[in-house]
Amino acid sequence: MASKEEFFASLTPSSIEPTPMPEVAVVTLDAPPREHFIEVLEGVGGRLGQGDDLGDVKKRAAELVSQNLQVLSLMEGVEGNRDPSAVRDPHELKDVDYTIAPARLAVAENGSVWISGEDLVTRNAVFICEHLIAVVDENRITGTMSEAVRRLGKLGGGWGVFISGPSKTADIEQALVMGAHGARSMTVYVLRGV
Amino acid sequence: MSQTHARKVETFAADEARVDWHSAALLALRDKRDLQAKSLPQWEQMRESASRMKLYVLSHLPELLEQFTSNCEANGMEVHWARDAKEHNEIVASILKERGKKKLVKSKSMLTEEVHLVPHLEKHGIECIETDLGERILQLREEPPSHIVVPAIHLKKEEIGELFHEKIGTQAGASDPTYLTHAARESMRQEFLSADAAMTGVNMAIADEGAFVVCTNEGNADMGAHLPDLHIAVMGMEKLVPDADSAALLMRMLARNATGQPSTSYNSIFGAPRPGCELHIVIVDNGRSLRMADRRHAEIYKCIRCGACINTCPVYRRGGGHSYDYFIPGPIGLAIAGDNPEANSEAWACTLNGSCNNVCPVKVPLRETIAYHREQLAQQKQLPYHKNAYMPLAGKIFGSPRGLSMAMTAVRVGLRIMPQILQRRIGGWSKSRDFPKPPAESFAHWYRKNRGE
Repeated sequence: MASKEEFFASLTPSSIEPTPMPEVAVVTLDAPPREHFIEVLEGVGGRLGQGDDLGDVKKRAAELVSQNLQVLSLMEGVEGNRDPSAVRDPHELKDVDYTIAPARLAVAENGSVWISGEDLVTRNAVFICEHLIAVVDENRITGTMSEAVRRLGKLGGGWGVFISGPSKTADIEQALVMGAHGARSMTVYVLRGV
Repeated sequence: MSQTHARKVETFAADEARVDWHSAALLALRDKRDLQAKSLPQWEQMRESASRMKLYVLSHLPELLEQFTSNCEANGMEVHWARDAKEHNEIVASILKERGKKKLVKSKSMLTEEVHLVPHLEKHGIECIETDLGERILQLREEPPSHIVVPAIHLKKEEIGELFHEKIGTQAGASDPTYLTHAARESMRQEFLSADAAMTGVNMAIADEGAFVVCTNEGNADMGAHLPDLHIAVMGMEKLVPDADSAALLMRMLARNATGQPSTSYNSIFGAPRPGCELHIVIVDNGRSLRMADRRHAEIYKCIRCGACINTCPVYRRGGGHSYDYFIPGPIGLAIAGDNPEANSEAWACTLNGSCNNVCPVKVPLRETIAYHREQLAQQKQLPYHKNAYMPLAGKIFGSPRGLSMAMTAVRVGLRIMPQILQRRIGGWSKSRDFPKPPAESFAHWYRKNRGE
């Protein structure tokens, strides 16, 4: 196995002439972000939550709990029936039906939401669930990915994910199927800004 | 020497209906990519930015590698260096063995195909489970992928149904894609839950943050990486980008070019291990820097592995991914490895039509690179299909106006009098295509008559 020094010493110099870093334009969209986001979200197989107030999300969570489903809520003020603070190991979440998670941003051009690991009890909470509900403030919808990245300032520094609709595959004869390995459905509540 | 590309295509093309179906499936991806291209007015500007950004990366690799490494280490990750395939496989095996790991779930990585990682780990008694549905299907069939984005595009749902019936116990005769996918989901869930290590590839490595992006539609990379306490990410060193703006640019382009989606379902950004867990990154050269030392070969490493060139390639669409010797098929595979004298027919699995150049999001000069390989092989007298014998002669004839005119007259007359059934026996392209109707006269003759002196 090579040390870092041996690796660098073995590199043949690149023949590509020193090229300056180009300006990578931050592209913005003209369309109103909320409408555009909802349109693309539905296009990528996501659903818009019914209602635009946190109360609507609470109501939905209570409904799911009353159906005897396993509901993990990571959203402040929304009650599920799983205690996030009791989770010691991500494997424990294997029977979760619904995860409800806050999204810090949404991106209109691809219908995705940005979920930060800091808001989750464990990273897998938004993948291992059968269904995912994300909640975002309408003032946090950006037009494009490049605007979203600028707004976040830093992408890394932990872990986070842009999620655009449910888990999907078309590996069998190009037929689109929702629910490959991650959540089978994704619902996004867009809350009216204050 | 292995079978020529043309010989292997004959096997694939024996079933004409299947070829039509295969071609249409790929063209549908190309069409969806075109719709995305038309929906973004800045499309061409994005291609230019992405191309120049990657040229910047390739001309500043050592600095960016240093920066990426020190930032990753500051973020609590461990970085390893592999000069070649053997070192890569040894590093991965030793990380796993030192920790007593027995079962690895991995998401799709072209790099691990390149270095033949899985057989190496299996020799060490480590079970490897491919978790991308297409890759899993092929692992169960003990067959290589035929495409870098849609690895099982050559298979019919009935074949997958039969495979799943035998391997994971789905109903006999069932071939509904939804039913089969959900059966695979249930079966793979058990694998995810029982794995003690995870591996992913890397789509973009962000140098100034020490973070990397992994893009999937299925969520398999994330399902794998966030359960066990060990995650190993492997990357070719060309995956670097300088900053988050550049990563955002490529995230905007990757899925649009690959499958015509505005984004993959998941763009997962790893900037630190989970508390109490380990995150290792293995950075691989394996011939990259050597190829980059040749300016006419170097730009292949701008590639972001979207597969758009493959979807649009008429030779790939009608010849299938298993007709190539190199593990990456289509234009980008030819551009990377078409100079291999052991597989010297590869560089001719191309009509030089340049459709690939036109769709490539980072402007890899695919056609020019493939033509360059032909040039090199000709200089080494390594031409396939008996070209060493007849090309010099053809060069002489076509090199003189008189020779050209006589040869063309012979062809016009020959095609007029030769019955079609005999024309097909000439071989090569004429086996599955009719010759064009010969014109009545040569262009030179027509020009003299109509334009005169």
